[in-house]
Amino acid sequence: MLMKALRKVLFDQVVIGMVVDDVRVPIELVTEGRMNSLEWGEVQTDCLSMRLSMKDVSSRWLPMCLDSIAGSDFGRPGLLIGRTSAVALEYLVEHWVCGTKQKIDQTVQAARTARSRGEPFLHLVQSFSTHDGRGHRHRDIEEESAEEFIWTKEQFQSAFSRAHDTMRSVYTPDRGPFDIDMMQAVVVPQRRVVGGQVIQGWDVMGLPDDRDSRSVMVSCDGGWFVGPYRRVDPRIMSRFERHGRLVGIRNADMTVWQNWVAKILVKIPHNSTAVGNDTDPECLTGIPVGKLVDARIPVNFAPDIKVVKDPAMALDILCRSARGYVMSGMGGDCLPPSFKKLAGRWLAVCVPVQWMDMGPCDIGDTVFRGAA
Amino acid sequence: MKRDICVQRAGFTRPWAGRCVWRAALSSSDEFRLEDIPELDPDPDSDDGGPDDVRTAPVPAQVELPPDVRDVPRTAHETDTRPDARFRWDGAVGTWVNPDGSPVSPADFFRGWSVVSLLGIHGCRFIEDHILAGLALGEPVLLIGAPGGAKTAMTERIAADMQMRFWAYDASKAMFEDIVGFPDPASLSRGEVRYVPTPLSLQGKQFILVDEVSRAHPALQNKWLEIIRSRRVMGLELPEMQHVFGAMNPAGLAGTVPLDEALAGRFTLHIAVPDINTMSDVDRRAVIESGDRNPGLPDGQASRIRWIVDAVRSAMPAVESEFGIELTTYVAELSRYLAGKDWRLDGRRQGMIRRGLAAYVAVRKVFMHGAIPRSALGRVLRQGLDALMPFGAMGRELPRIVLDGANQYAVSAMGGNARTLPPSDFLIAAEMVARGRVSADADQMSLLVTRILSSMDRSGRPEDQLRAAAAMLTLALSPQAMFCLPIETRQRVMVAFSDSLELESEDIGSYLNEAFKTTIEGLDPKIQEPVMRVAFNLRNRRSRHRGQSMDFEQMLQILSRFMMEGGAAC
Repeated sequence: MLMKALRKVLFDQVVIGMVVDDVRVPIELVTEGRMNSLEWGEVQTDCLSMRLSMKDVSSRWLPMCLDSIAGSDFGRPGLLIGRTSAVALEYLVEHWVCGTKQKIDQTVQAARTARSRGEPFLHLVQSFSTHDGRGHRHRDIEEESAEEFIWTKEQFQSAFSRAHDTMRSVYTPDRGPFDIDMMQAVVVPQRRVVGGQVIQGWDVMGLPDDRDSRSVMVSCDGGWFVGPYRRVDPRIMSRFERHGRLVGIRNADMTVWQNWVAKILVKIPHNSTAVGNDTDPECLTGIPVGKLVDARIPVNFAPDIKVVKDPAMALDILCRSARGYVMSGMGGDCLPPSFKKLAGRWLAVCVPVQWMDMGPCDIGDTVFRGAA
Repeated sequence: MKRDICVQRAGFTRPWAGRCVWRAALSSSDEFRLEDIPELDPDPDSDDGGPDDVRTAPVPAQVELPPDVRDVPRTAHETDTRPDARFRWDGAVGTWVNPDGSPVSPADFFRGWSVVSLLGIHGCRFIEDHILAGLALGEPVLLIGAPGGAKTAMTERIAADMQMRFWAYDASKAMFEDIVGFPDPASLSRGEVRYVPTPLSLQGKQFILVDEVSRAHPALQNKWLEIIRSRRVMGLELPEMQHVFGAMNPAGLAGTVPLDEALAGRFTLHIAVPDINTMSDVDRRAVIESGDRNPGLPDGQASRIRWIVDAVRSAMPAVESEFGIELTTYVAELSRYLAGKDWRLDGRRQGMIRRGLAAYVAVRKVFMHGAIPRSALGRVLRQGLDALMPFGAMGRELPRIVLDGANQYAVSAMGGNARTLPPSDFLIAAEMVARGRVSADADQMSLLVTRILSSMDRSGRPEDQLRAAAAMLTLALSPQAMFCLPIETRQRVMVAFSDSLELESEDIGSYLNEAFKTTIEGLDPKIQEPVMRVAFNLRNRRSRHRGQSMDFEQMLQILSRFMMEGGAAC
């Protein structure tokens, strides 16, 4: 499994340099300790088409262009950590390689000129260091200034920890800086072929922040299981290890989808001005109400799932929707405006899994091996 | 000329009185004759009364009909018409027979007579069918009545008529030695405890009355419980004991205390003995005139009570085969309705009610020549119910209107008819909707959902919130229920369902941890996950918004219980 973490690339007597890098970490280590990725995704399912915007702190930190960092690590975003800010700033002025960022280059040049004249120069580069009192555990990393990449040792230690004893040069954020309703999850992109259509989506292994239970929630091909980590089928585990990526999932409970099952996949038509038929389409038979969500969510597909690509029939289904729910018995109408910008995407009409003969436990058996 | 005469039993407002109207047909010769058993109006709201039996028939037309015509025959030759004088006991066959030797049916034997009035107990006609049901079942009967209500005398005379060895114990005074005898010193020397019975002790008694049962000596309370429940004491079996009656004054009377719930629950029938001050003038006069006079027993082995009780027992298998399914449905729905009103009946009591009703129907069947129209069953059951609710003995008087409502609800269910939604209970209403047993318009459905959802959001008692949540889940988990709802209402339920399942990201870990530690027995595994999530979320919301810390497991158990009440058990 890959995760974004800080890797120590520079160890001087007075400073430490860290760069953001993709690090391969066994999932088991994540279940054992408090390991959080520098990358997080904001999932919103309420707006029909799921928005999964992946972010990481590397976009907030400046490339580490220091002459003491060599090879491929040169220029990666990262942090410069000193025992005090002054020590780190002085090191920056001494070792920064100009030619990458105009603003910092100018500032460093000015500081170097002042230093050569014997004048005070640290105040010129002060803006690159984090202010006192920031970097503590409740800090929202999104609000951090892009240029604040110089941290004191104390600030760093309050926000990051060594990933594991066996990975001494890798540091991951404590829960602190990301303490914003986030669950760590290993995400694997997947393609599901249903009715001749390829549906993109994600398999998710949720790693709750409760290391005592060491339980995981696994969605694989839409099937869900919640149980001890060690009971996960090795084939499934291997897939997550090889292709998975650890991200923090924010603002969403991905595990809730184990309670739903998709009955219909419908492609949003482009023609949004037409009016649907007053008679319910046949595929809505037996569905009094269905939750309309992005088809990429990790939800199980019913064995008799219907795939609706035909624009007219899709219109007949979607015109019976209001605020994210499709209801049979509603009269035909034109498509709600919210669908316009989503044309061409796949939505799933989901119903509670209890409406089917198949329950979550049945699904789990395909993912996990052995008895409880 | 033929006219109908309706007699309203007036002046009785107590549960035992039961509004009842009798119909009799008056022939042109002004002489009463038995008309066909009237087909009773199945409409429970009708002013008409319950089905009546042949004992109502011989009513003289020239007198203004008293409310209790069966109790005191108003004939010119009262003594001549006593059944035990008109018929004779055939000891060889063990039955009463006509003068010509042909067997007489109980209905004909008691025609115009109250069974207990033959024993010199007046004004108790309304409870005698319950007493007979209790005797036929052989299960404990509790008589609740004011002092001087002839509870002891009635029991004593019943036992005497049945020719059983009887003793009335005063539970407030009786000592251990009184009921089991004295320890046998010889047995003690052998290292075992045996008791030497005395004339007072329980051994050998066939019929006992535990008087003042609510004021039992504290040291003996559990022993009485054991005797009443299992007919044994201190491991000593009492195989000969066939009938156990208890007696107590109504809770609330000066110096009386309500009966302990466990003890009250052991009595199958709770019969309220009429107070003389609530009786009709005729009954009152009869009570005053008869005083303690005991009309005595028939000669020889003849027994009137044992004979009728045997007849009832013989009729019970037929009742079971004819009405068994209906009775079970009736009791289940009755209990569901009462539970919704916070009058809960445990499983044992529901079983007792069913047995008690079956016996009561058998009694009525015997007095109606074996015929109870199906349309009349509902009202027979309603009358039977009067003596099957345990709450009065515990000091909680079940309002008559609630019992009537429950009966109406259960009778509708028994007939397989759709019912209107119960007025107050979400869960029952939701369960009815899920089962498609409801006829309600869109506005009523919408209102029901509004009340469910607002109760879920209202942070009152956790039980109320959880009951509303169970109702929401019952609706949301059933596509049939959702189809019953108006379109926009479906959406509201589904939104509430969806929101209730979703956990805060920070809570997922602790949810998993707690959910793994918790088991829900009896609940369909398929619905355990949503039930757990809803309980968890409700617990957290109460904790966050109101600072009320509730135990997750406790919340879960309550919600699971409600879900099972709502028909979600596996």
